[in-house]
Amino acid sequence: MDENLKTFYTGDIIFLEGQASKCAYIIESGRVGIYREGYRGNRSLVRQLGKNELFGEMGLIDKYPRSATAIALQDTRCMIIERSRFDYLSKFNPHFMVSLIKSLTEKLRTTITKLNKIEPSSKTTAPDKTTLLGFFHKKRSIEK
Amino acid sequence: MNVLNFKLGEVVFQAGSPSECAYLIEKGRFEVSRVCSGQKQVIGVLTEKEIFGEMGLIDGQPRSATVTALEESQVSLITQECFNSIERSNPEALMPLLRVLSARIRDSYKLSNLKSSSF
Repeated sequence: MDENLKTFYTGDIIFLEGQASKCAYIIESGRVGIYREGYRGNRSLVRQLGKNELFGEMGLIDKYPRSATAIALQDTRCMIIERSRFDYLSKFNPHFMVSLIKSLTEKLRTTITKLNKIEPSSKTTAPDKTTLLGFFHKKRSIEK
Repeated sequence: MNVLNFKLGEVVFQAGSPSECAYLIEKGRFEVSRVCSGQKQVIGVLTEKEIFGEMGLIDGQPRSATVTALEESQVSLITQECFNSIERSNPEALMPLLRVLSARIRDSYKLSNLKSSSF
């Protein structure tokens, strides 16, 4: 694997909202804060990410500029996924695609919940990432 | 794929109802709405070739919004089985799903900005 590792130190800006998107990141160790840039330079924290979590992938999917700013909250090591690698994985690795779809859906749910400003309905804990494939392969019958 | 028909005003699913499949619009238009502090709020209108209900298909959690037909419409059902077979045979075919999710996240970020700036 042509893994490309990079270290960011506490407070380092990994990327800024509005910048061109060139790669995605998987956190090997450390913590990263995802922020939305607000008015008059006010940043609001959208979420915190830790080990094994992926970020920056939306830019690779839709090729639009960064939708948020990423800042290292502590010394953090990330694996960098370049566009070419991303394209390769999305062609040939179903597990990668499913993980990606899953992680985007979680993101969307989180944002919607925040937007609604209501308590999430009962147990909305996300399934363990390692059971992802099992989750999808579980046979679920549909009504009607 | 299974095809379903909807008449004007017919509800495909209600926010909060259990999720089992996604829908691909073959014909017609649908309104996506939710109830916010007792008031109905239209989030968007979807037309041909657009997908909805994909979040429920993916995480099985209750529907986050209500979808209603705005005219005589037709959808194809994307079931779990269908999703699994695409995933195995042709992962790249899942790319449109990723694009939809990505677009929705960007839209909801924009909405949340509007919301916080209006306070």
